Amino acid sequence: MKRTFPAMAVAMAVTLIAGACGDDGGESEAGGKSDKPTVLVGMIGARVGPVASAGVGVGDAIADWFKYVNANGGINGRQVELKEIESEYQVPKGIEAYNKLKTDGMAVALVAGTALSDALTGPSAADQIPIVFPGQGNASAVAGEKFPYAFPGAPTYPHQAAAAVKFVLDESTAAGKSKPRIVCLGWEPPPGQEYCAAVKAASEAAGATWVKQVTIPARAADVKPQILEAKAANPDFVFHSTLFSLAVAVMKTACAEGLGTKLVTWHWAVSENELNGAGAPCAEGLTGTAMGKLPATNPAPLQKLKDAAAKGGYQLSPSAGNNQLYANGLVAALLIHEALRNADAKVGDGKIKGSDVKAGFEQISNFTGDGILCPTTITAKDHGGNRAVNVYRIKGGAFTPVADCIAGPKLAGLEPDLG
Amino acid sequence: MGIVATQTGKFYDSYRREFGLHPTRSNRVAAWAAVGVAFLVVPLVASDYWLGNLSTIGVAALGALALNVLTGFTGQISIGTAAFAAVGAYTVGNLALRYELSPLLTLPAAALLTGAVALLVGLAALRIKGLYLAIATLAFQFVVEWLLFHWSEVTGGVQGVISVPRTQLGPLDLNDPLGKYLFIAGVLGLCVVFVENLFRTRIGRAFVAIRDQHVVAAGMGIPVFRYKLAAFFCSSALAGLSGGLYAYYVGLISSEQFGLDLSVRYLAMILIGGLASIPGSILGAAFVMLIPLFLRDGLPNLGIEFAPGTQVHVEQILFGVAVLCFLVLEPRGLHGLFNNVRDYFRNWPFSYKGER
Repeated sequence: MKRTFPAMAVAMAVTLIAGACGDDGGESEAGGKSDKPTVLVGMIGARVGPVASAGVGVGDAIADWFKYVNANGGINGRQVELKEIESEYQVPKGIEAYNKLKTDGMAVALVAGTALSDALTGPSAADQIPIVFPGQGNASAVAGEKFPYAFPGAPTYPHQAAAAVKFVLDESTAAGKSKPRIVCLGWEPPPGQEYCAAVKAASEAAGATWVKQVTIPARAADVKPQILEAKAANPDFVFHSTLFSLAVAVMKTACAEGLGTKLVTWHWAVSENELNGAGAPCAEGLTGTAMGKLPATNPAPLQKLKDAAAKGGYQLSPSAGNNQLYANGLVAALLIHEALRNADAKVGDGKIKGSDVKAGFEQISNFTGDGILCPTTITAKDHGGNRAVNVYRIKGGAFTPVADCIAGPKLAGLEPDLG
Repeated sequence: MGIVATQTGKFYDSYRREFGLHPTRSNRVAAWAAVGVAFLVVPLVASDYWLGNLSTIGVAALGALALNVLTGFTGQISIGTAAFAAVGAYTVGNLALRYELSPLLTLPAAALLTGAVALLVGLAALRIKGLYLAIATLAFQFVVEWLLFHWSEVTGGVQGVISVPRTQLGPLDLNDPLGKYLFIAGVLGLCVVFVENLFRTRIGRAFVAIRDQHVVAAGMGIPVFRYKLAAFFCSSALAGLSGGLYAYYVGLISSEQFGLDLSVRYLAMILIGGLASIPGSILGAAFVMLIPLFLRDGLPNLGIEFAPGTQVHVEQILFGVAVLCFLVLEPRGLHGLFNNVRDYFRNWPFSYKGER
């Protein structure tokens, strides 16, 4: 057995060297239907790891969208090569993936996860390759002059929190209760903490009664102590910033403690998988926000994908049918598509570079992505895109839209003041 | 004068040689060859992508070396290496950003401050040992993670990011892949020489004596607690340097980058590379960093290709199997394996059973 190790090591070395000597793929064509050089879109995914539930939905939607685009002649005849490298939401792997994709000639990268977008913000500016991370990432990244190649492009966590607070406050006021009591269950990692900080700021700014934040450890298996602490505060609404299995635990425990219908959450918390995990009765009444129109409402881009799949005799990714987060992925795909379309118009038959895509993003104006996004405008100064979210509620075990494109108050100190 | 066996077929013929930094001719040749490859060949032949990968390996190797000083050489288990790296990274980040200090000042400051923090932690933690020490370092890991989220004056808070400004160190542009690589390789090289020398000194031998039998070490007059504290200081200072290098390499640090999983990866690196082995620290880091690349870029050349999501599951299984295999079949890790292979060829066609 001992002698098999050197053999394995030699085999690994040989195959690595062979890989290094191979074609870098930078000029390959996905479909070969045009003389325009292919544009490479990198996807640094997170289908495995702590944010896997979001990573799968987003990754599948982006893959499906660009498959559809290529099958329909590309972007103004230019084929899009999508290359995905999994990061497991680990920064060193994300950096390696970014470097690999950069070597391959990537013009723009979709980055899954705040830790990765933070780590890649510096390199992306140095390399002049835009990174896109809709609905996630550090809120300060919307400052385009400070972070010229970082594009959140859609509501960041403070935006999501502010809009959700505004929605429940309006609803509560209409029901005759003007100062609802708000508690936030904050997932310990930075995105979760930022969300709760924003819920607090928005509650105070909008006139609700902020009670307290209860932190849920990143690796918690049981959230009953936190739910009981929240319950003891006698809240009217319990916001939470968890996702994946923790979201299921929060829903089930809140349900058992009679807080189920008071739960309000962010973009990434709940897909059909979490709904099934908690059980429809427990999820009943939960309010959440989404970047895009819900798949249940069959927004036009999703319908296009379905029609093309039916016509072409192929299957969309499994999550297209059962993952609410798929729509968030479509939002990301459509933003990238629009930036590439603008870049293509600029370079004509030439090669699209990262700086062209940056300029393409900064030309996006009142873009709705065939109705799936709230109107989005990106400028050189403001890479935020839009601050508005769609609100849904679980009714009868289904995601039901209850409000479109709601934006909350601006939160001084939590989001950059861009004038 | 007795002749002392070292590597198979190689013998010391003087005390001076025995205590030399590189006691045999082959050691010296290997050391200079490594320097030549690292600083002459690699910069000439490696692409920016591979320079980036080698830089990542260099940063990880320094972290693994730090842990090896404590765990491999001194026998004290720690699962808080990432926390010490975080202290170093934020020290460098803040000094570079706020005071625009040169890496020649920020890195020593990071090492010293991290070492000082380790002394404070060690005063309490090193009075216990074994599993209890591991749990104490785990607690420190969580304390640091909490501080990263909440000490906003230093870290910027939960969503804080510290951008390390563009840095020029003499002819090296630390924003350029080659500049970063040479900088990281240089610091790693100096640290390797430092650790090699450390274990040629009375202090280093005391560390090893404590690892091998702390009761006997105490009986021989070695102040065990003081030397454990010294080992903790050295190890943590190196971990702080590793964090500082990481800050220069990535150019931006945030609170999510120094979690428990990083500490566990350092443990995996030294288990796979070889406990109490300096080359093992580097080999282990390289193994852990290169396996994903092998699965992604190497296997397709053999006709085997995984979807991105599947590949990482295969990788995780492979890591688990690798750690188990090394623990059971070759506890000296990759470095031990390398020694076996070298001895096999050196003595060929005669068989040789290496030391186990």
